[in-house]
Amino acid sequence: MNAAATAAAIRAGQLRATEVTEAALADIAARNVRTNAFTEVTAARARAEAAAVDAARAAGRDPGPLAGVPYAVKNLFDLEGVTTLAGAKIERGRPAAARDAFLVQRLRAAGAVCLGALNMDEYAFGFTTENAHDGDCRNPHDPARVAGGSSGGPAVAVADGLVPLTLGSDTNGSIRVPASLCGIFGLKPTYGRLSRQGSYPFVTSLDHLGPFARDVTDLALAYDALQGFDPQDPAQQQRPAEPVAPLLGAGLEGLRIAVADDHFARNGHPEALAAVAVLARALGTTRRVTIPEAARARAAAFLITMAEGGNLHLPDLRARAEDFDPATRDRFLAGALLPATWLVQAQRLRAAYRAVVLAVFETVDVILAPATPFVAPPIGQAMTEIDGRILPIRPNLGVYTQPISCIGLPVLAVPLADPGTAGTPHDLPIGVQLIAAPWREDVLFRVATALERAGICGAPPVPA
Amino acid sequence: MTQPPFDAESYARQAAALIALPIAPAHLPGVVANLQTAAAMAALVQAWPLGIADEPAPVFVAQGTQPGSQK
Repeated sequence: MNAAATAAAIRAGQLRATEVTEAALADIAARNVRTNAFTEVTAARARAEAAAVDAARAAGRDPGPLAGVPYAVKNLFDLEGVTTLAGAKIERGRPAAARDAFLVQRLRAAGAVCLGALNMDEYAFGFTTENAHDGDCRNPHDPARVAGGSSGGPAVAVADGLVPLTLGSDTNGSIRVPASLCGIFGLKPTYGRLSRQGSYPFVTSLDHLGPFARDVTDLALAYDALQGFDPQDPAQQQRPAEPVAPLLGAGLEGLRIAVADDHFARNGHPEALAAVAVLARALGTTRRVTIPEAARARAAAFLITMAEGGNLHLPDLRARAEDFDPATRDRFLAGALLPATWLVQAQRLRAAYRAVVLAVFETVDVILAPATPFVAPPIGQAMTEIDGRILPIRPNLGVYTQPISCIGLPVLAVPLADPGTAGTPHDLPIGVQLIAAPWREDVLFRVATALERAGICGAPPVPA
Repeated sequence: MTQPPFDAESYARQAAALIALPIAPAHLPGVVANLQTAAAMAALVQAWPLGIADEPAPVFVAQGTQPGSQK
């Protein structure tokens, strides 16, 4: 049952939140071992929240739009009474969080029930969720393959049906990459749309938070609940909430849709480009558009990420470098050493690049681009062939996502309902990025809904 | 005058000393490899011709009282 149906049944008194919670807890206890998505199950909290929802309804109060809906969060979100791990051994000795992250507070206020915290790459610096401390997070479509990352646990928990909603973070692609590899919907809203207060930062210039779901209705329900101004996030823009749920049926009329060429028409395996073509055919668009200088933008994001990440962790790099995950340590160390002129130039390039990309959106409303250059690779595989060159898998998983988050554009990653239509190896899932101008999440939800209703997009079933 | 090749290991040692960051011998090869990757990325970034009007992207806000602020 999806989140919308669960909330509707609980609100109507046909189901109790406590029943839903107990069933979800039992399911996680039985099945999490297969994928290692959850790193902490907050059973006592979940039972208390569910009881509060049932009590509210019994007392005639509105239990909220997400009444009794189970959800979980990437373990970089603060949960009151739980130590925020951010995937790191180093954080395990820190005190428990004194209060919930802002977005967790929003979901709680909407009646949702928090079941726990989810696996991720250490400090969000990765695209695979191969974590030396918590163990690898495995893809439910093939447990021998990576989940994608860094929000691997959140994507897997939704794809595998453990919970209908999760929250993740996306600095360079960490929502969109695992959404693509696990075959679910993921939203990276405009930079500054949702508060990041109470989440462990990675690169504050580029950090975004957002939801995952198995269908567009649930994604919209979550996104609408998450919106709200928080003066404690200095990057959040003070804008009124712009709910998307009422717009889902608005259709495609008047929308100008094009396919990204150049950087986004190479750098990947055939199935990544074929997935875009499937969506373009369904939408009846033959138009192409160029996002200029995407490779330079990706390079700028790369340098900003290394420099800010290295600086953030410098005290621990000095004192206890051995305690970092080997997958992140040397990148953080190198990042701390970058010359200042590289960082400043990257930030200046970012502003100039934003200007040229915003000009593109004067003639188009939604751009289609691949989300990942290939399907989920086997856990542990380091290299693959791309355009005739042997290249490292891990950094290249972000080749299509980094140039977009570099300037904070909103993106909805949508999964192909039948990956076979793109010819993916072993019918493994793959997604496509729907990209819009800043603050135009509304048009992304309209296109995603149209594609879902046409049967083109949807979460492919996980093999039994 | 030709540009001497980038000696990432020498740079790593000197820059690490400058910021008092000890780097264990076992970690040095990985640091060097990452610096070389960063240098390739920086070459791309440096090649974009920017003018004096191209300010860095982050906008610092002198907080004070914003509408709705609780601070």
